[in-house]
Amino acid sequence: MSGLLGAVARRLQRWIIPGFIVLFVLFAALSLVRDEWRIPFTDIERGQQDTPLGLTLGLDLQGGVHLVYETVDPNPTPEQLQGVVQIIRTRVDQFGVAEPLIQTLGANRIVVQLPGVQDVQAAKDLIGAPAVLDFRELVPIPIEPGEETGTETGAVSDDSTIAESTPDAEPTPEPESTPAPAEETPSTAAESTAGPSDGTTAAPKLANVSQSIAAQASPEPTPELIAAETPTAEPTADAETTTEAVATEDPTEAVEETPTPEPVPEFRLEWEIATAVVDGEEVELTGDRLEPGSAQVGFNPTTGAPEVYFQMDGQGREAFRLVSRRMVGDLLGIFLDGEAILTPRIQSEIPTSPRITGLDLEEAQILAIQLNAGAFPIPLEKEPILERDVDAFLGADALERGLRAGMVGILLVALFMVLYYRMNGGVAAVALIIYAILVLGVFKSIPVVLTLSGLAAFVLSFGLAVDANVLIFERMKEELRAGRSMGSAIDIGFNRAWPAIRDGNFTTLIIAAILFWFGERLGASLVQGFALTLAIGVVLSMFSALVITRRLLRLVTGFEPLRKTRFYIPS
Amino acid sequence: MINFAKYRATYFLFSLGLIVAGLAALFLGPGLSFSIEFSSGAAVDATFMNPTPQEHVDEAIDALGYEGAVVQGFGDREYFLRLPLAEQSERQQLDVRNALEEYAGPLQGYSFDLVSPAVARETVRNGLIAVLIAVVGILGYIVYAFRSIRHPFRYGIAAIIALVHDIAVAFAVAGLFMLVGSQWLHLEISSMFLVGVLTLLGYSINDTIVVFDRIRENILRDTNRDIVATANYSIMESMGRSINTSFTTLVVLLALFLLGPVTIRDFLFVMIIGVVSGTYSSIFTASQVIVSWETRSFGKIPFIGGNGGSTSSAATSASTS
Repeated sequence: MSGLLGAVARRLQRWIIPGFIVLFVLFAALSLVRDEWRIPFTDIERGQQDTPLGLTLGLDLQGGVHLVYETVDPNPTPEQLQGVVQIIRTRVDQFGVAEPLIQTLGANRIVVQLPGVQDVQAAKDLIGAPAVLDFRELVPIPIEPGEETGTETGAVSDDSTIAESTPDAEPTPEPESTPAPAEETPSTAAESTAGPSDGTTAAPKLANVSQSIAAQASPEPTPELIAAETPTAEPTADAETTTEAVATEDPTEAVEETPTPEPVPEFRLEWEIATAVVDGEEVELTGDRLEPGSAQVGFNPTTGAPEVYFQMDGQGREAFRLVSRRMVGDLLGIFLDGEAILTPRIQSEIPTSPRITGLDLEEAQILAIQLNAGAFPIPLEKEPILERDVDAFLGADALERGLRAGMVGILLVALFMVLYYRMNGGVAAVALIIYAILVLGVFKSIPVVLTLSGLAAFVLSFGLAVDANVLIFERMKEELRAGRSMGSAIDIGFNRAWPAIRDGNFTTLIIAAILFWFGERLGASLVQGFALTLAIGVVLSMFSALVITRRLLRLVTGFEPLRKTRFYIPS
Repeated sequence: MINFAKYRATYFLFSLGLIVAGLAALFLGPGLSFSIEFSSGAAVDATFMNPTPQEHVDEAIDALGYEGAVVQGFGDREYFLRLPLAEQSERQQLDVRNALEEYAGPLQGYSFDLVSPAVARETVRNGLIAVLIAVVGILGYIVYAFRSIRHPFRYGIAAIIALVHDIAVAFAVAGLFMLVGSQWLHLEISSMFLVGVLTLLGYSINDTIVVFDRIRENILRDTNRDIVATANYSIMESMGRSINTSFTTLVVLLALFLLGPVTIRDFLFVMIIGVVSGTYSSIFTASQVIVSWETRSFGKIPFIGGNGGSTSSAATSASTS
């Protein structure tokens, strides 16, 4: 029985282990050549056809955008943060980015990686905005005694700051379209650029409000609110609605129409979300009332200008109709993220959902996507706290240079090994090539994203693999010089070299783990790629030196003519 | 047998001299600045379609009104820019690009990095924590791995001293380099620089361990030999390996440095210094610290003298400690 077990063990050692190694290496090699032979460790399909060997490339090598956003609230709940991630994902998917990566980072951050995206500004516009849409009306608010008119601040509902104008989102009106009166207004809302979140609002007098709003909300082309039948409305029907429900075509007009400033000092006007009672329920006119997925971009049949159409749900439509009836002759404010994007004057009751005009095509597309994806449960800081953009040219250039340099380095090392360690060196060179195939095979299979720093780590781990071989050969040399036979020199050489290889590699693994942690804190894929690659390299380089080199040496020394000691000891 | 241990005080003084000179250059000379990852700001890598003189790039930056911007050229088409954060940082990426195209010509490649002050502060903190954890982790591992011989803690400390030595040398050489070569390569303390430092740390420890492994083996094998002889013998034995490994690693690093992409040059610079210094310190710092500690003497300085290094004193002090 024991004899049988012994035989099995011997057979295992002689055939099965080497067989396994050969299969493993073969598999790794095949996975590089054919995508379908990839070892299915995960079900993520990330291999790209047009990259070398189908490896997954990091943003720094293929080009793309890496953004890290932070929530305004420093302590959001995990659900809120996850909600934002979901919405960003929906937006990005609709925008048509291949293989985006969107995930939370720490307690209040979100990382967004968009490979291949070149229009960085559009990507940021798409992702960063909360997309809270609401319809507001001007409501007189009594001024409390002691409050100063003109400059005092008054709290409005949370994010509904009127006149919160940010220069970048709002092109300064062309001089010809902005009449002098608007500019001369002493304290216009547009001037009092309040901080984004402090909820303050300038409270100008009645006339000033309309003036400034008209001026501010009239970028070119002048936006207008029109009742939209359906996105596919016939040109004629459309034209009709345009005339019936209308618009502040020209700021001047708006100003003139405004009732003469009969000072009503006890009141000031503020934008508040319009509400209507539908079926005994108070309905707020906000983005929540949009029919999900109904927003789309269309073109005005007469002007050809892009417009965003959307449908409101039943209650929303009814509420909108009631509000528009009540507000005939008044200004309706369409606010996106607390900024007025349109402030048309309602001329008659509007029985359908409105549509938004005055945007360029890109803005319209982004807005439609945002409306469909829904608003963030909590707002993000508008400016990303970390941004890394690489365009495709620089990425490809870095990849090419990195690969070329790596190849030159590796070839020089292999040459040195052969010259210095003779037969051993030749064996090591073969083992190193196998090592490279293994690493790349694992990279492709897991898959590990190859970054520039990862490439550096790979090349460096090559140094480690060489080191392990060198340690072993130096030991072997000593044993051969001491007059041992080839077989025992190999065994003793490996055994003696093992503690140094083990200790050295373990400390490197410790470093790799720490680097990985460091990179994760940062959301820095650069550092993480390096750490992961280094760790994989360390493990495989040990395997390559201890198992592959050893097997190859045994194979080579199995041939009598190759067993001469002088082939293994440099003179 | 070469008596490496005899002149150990000289090696210590040499290292100290280099480090002091380097640190002086670092603080008194142009020195190293922190990259945007540690100090916040924006970094741009712009490659133009056509050869473009630096004045045009400077003009573009002036037009944007940034103060304290650094422009560095690589060849006549590629430029690195370090810019402060704009107030409207959300559009900075586009603004800089537009300004460059307007003043300096069409771009072929453009990359833009931005780091906010909050992230920069965290990076500094996390970087320090990372280095600290690495040092403690390595110390722990070495003490554990050398538990079979006397004073494993001394080996751990000696390895850490060698490691700090290598990091100090890397900074010192970087400081000296900035005195002469800043036009050619504007070194910065960036996250890749830090990655270089951490990797160097791993490499340095690896080298030290190879020598210590020999000392450990020789101590266990032949307990009669004193520490000075053991150290000398172990250094001789591991010399071939140390030189070969360092050489091959250097070849690879130099190939990457000369032919590879410019973005990882900070990392490669640190690594190249680190590999040389790591090999040196494993023989002339770590091993000599062990010898000095075990014999309680710093050895000789040529022409000055000093005690130590002799077999008898080493044996007595080793037994008393």
